[in-house]
Parts: sequence; C-alpha cells; structure tokens
Amino acid sequence: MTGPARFKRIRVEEGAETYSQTSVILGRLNGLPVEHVKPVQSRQGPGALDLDKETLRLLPFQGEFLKPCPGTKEYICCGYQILHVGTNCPLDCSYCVLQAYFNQPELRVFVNLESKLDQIGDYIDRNSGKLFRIGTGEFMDSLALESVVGWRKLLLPFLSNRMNAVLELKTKTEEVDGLLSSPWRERIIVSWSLNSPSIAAVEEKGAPSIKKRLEAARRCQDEGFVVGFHFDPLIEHQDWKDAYRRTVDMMDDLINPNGIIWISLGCLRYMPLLKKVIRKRHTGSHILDGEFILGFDGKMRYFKPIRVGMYTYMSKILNQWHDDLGVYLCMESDEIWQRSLGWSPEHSEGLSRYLDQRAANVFGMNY
Amino acid sequence: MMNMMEIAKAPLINLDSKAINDDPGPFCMSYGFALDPLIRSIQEFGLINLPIVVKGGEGRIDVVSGYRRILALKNLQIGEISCRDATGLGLSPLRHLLLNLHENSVTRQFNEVEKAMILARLIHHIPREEVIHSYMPLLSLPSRESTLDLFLNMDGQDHSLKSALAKGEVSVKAFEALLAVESDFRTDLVQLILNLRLTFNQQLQFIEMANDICIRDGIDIPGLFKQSPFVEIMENEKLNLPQKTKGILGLLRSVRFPLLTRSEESFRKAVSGLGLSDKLRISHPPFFEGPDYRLEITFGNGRQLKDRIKVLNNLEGLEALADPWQEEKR
Repeated sequence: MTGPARFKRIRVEEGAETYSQTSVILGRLNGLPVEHVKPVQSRQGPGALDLDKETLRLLPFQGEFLKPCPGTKEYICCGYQILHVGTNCPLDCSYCVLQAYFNQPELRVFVNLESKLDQIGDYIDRNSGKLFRIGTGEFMDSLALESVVGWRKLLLPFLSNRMNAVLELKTKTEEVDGLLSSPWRERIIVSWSLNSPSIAAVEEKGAPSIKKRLEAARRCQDEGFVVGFHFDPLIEHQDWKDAYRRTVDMMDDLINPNGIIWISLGCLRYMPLLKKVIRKRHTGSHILDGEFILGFDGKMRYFKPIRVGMYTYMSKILNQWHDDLGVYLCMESDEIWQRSLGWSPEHSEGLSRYLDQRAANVFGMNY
Repeated sequence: MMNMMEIAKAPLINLDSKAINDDPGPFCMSYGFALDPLIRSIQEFGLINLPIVVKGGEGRIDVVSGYRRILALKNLQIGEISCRDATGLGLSPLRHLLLNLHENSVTRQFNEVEKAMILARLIHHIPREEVIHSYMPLLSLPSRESTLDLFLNMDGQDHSLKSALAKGEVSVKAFEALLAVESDFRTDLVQLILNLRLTFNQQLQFIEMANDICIRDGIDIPGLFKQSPFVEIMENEKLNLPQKTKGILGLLRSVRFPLLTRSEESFRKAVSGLGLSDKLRISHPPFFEGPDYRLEITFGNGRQLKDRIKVLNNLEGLEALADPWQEEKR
C-alpha cells in the first residue's frame, strides 16, 4: 500500500542509512529495487520537465525543518509555519508550483526528521507566548505518502506535548486510515484542498474526486478531528460559479460546518517560469486561459476585478451555507479583502491573530 | 594531446568536388553564413589553407575542417579540390569534432544555431554532465540542463526558424516561447515576426499572446490571423510597418486581455474627458493592481501649484472618476 504513489525504485542517499525512518520505509516498500547513492551534485535547471515521481529518495535534510511560510510583504500572509518533511508530490496537478519551485526531481523524504524534533520542540517551547500554526503541506501533500512514511507516528505525539502549537495536515487524498487509527486528536487539523469537480477531474491528476475527498473529511469529522478546507487555487473556467457551487453543495451534504476551523480562498497565481512548464507538461490544460497580470510579488495573478468577483461569490455561497466558517484569503491585499469579504485584517499580523483566535477557540487554548 | 605537426603530415589528395556532400556532416558547425566574402578572397588570393577530410564508409567523404572553403570552391565551379586526408591519422570522431570546434572558436563567434549544432554533435560522444560543465561555458551558455535541452531542440527545427535564429532576427527566448506552439504553426509565426520586424521583447509578447488565444479559443495560428480585424490591419495600405506592428500587437492584447484593455481604455477616456491641462496628469497603477491612482502636478512655483490645485478642486466630474470595471457585467 503506497497510497497515490507508484514507486518503481528507492534511492537511499549517503548518510540516510543511519536513521531508523529509513529502515522503516524500506521495510514497508520491501521488494522495490534500492540504490545507494551520493547526494545529488548537479541540479536540474528550475522548471525541468522530468519530475521522476516514480522514485522515492530518502535523505537527511541539512536545512531548517521549521520555517515561516515565505509570504511576501506586498500581500497579507497567514503566518503559517512550514514543517519541511520532504518535497514533491505523487499527484500531478497542472498548476502545482512545485513543478517550477524545486530544481531536483523525485519524491524526497527527509528521514532525519525524528532526530530534529527535540530541537524544533525546544524552539516552540521557548516561544510559549506564540501560537505556532504548523503545516507539512507546503512542499508536498501531507498525507499522500503517509502509508509509506508514517509521519503521524512522529508528529502527532510530538504535538500532543505542545500546548502552543497546532498541526495542519493538508491533502487532496483520502489517505486517512492511519490518522483515524491514531489516538491523537487535540490540536490536529486535517484539511483538504478543494476545487470545482471539473477542475479536480481534469487538472488534478492522480487526486481523488471532490466527493471522495469530502467523504474522507467526513470520516475524520466523525472520528473527532477538526477539519479545514482550502479553495486554492480558484480557477476561472466555464460556468465556474455553478461548478464551485456544486462543491459547496457537496460540502453541505457531507460536512458538519460547525467542525470547520477555517476555509481559505486563493485565486490561481504562478511564477512566470511555471507557464512554460504547464504548457509542456499539461498540453490540454486551460488553467492559463484567464487574464493574468504581474502581481507585486512577481507572480502572475488574475486581474483584480476577476479576483474580487471570485472571492465575493465564493464567500457569499459559503456564508449562505454557514456564517462562521473562518473564511480567509491567501496572499491578497487589504484592498481585495475589503472589496471581497467586506472586512480586512489589514496586515499579516492581523490575519495571524485572526487564525490564532480561530484555533484557540476550537481547541480551547489561551491565545 | 595531439602531435603539433601531425595534421601537417596528413597526405594531400585531390577530390572531385561532386564527391563532397553539401551538408556540414558530423564534424562541421557552420550555419547561416555569408559565403561571398570567402569566394572573393579565394578569387583574389586562391585557397590559403587546405580543407581536412576523412574517408568514411561506402566512399563517403566527411569534412573535418574547411566546410565553408569547400562550398566556396564548389560555388566557383572548381571541379577538383585539394585536401588533406586525415583518415590515416587514426583520430576518433570526437577528435575530429573537437578539432573543428577549436579551430572555429579561436577565429569567430558562433551563432545560436551553430551552438546548437555543436552541442547536438558533442552529446553523441561526451556525457551530458561534461557537455554542460565543460563545453557550454565555452559557447558562452549557462551550464544548465534546461539550456542544453533547449539548444538540442533547436538543432532539429525547420530551416526558416533556424535561419532567423542564426541571423539574430529571432531571439533564443522567442524560440523557447515558440516551443509551446504546435510545431506545424511555428513557421507561420516566425514569418509574421519577420514581416512585422518585431523587437525581441515584442516577439515574446506576440508569441505568448497568439498561442494563449489559440489554446483558449481552440483555433490554430493561421485561423487566428485570418480573422478579419487582423487581416484589415495587415492589408491596410494607409498604415506603415510600425503602425501595422503596433496595431497587430494592440489587437492581440485586446483579444488576450479583454477586460484589462477595456478597463484601460475606459480609464483613459474618463481622464481625457476631464479636459486636464498638460500640467496635470492622472494615471492608474500598473494593471490596476495597486489600490491608488496617481496625480502628477507640474508647476514652477507655489503660486502655480495653488492655481493648479484650485483648477482641480473646481473640476466638474472629477468625483465621478472610479474603477473602470464597475460598469462591467461579470
């Protein structure tokens, strides 16, 4: 069982053998050819086309495991902390930023995470006045490799000892069996990236349908997990209003809105470099059809009235469903917040406070 | 390393010029060059340096050095060409290739297509890593996989595209953008680029916008430019070339970005309707992305500034200036 991943080989980088997670993973994927390799010297240029999603590379990570989300000062950022457990993803979404973000292929798992947890824990404990909203879903899907790697066994107990941290596991998969079998629920958020059913079917290759994602979310809710959702990227496509409404209707059918901590909205944006990758790797894709302009952060994003129109519509239909869903915008300006949602946190600190407060209320924390 | 006098020891042979192929073969790397100066030089002074050849299988003659000279001699209807025959020296094909590369690199700059030819030939003999790190810098190219792939792709392109690249009429960045276009229609776009004499920046915009529109609307490149607004501009005899270029680029932009261009136009009309003097200028932020519009007042002294502010203050209709898309029905 490897979830959505279809591995054909494993590469164990020099230095990775000494970590117990390496043996655990090799044991789970027993039978696959294993190559012992040196750290990669030469890197592919950014935007290389062969992402080699069939190779799992196990390696020790030399950088910082816990880092603030690299937001930009020009737009309001949620203040999320990224726990960097690996890079790349077995799914193949046409819009995925990872296609242009990393210049190294293969699915990479950092097997020295366990040895760094004490250090990370010390840092969190030393900053007891701050609430850490931590996520593993920035550079890979949080659950797509769960059955192979078993991060939950490290991270969930780790979080249970930290009263000033919540862990958000962002996914598009239905790989929740492992989570459901764990005893941990406190300060854990399982969240799904959602889109319209048609975008999910055409542009999110390898990912389950929206209905299946919501059914997985429902199972998590039934088993006591707090859930979140991310409509990111919102994509302007034919009949997009009806299409996104269908997703919200499915949410209404399957999800208890009272158990939702937050829902983020973010219109498609991309680094200019990603365009040629999308054109080459996803030839039939229509996600670039819209009117994109160069934003303050150097990324392409929809022309302002299009973004305002999409956010306004989404927030309207979500609020019609339930009026306390914690809807927020990802990487947008104060002006867009005001025009779309009728209020604004004004700056990144304001949005952080808003989300911290949501987390504190849901989990009964003092922040 | 080769014995320095070894090549000079290669025996002289006289070859029937018809026996030598017109294409550059596996070792030469000349493309898109002007032959006339060399022809004139040979006419004036004769052949100064002899070409070097090797005999391949089935009587094939491969030119190792002097490909242009051979073409010039053929052009001069020289029936028999004296060459040095390096067959007996026992050099590997890679050495033949490097001989040509080094001989050329010390005497001239390679054009982009020639760089592509060199890389395409080297890659058959040398590991990619070595090509990237040792040879790409020699060609003034960045040592990147993606750049290597781009140039390898260039070697296999249609002659008209390669010719435009070799002459520097089409940029490498434009070529990269062209790769996103269906291969059957690249030549059409190149022809339009050449006809409209687009600058490198304009080439990129032109290719991207045309390709984006075709993908969005499900049409092909010829289908796009057969649409009447494009034809009308191209066939308008009252327009000179720069006006046609501006017209085509403007039209492409309005088709690719309809809401943005309508907004820009509405804003321009609204500002122009205010009848401001040229000392007062109102502009919108780039792409309207920022929240604020901008007012510039040009003045010579405080008195003038006060006067101009007064004019602004009393200007009819200024308060109606607003985001131009509010009228849009989305």
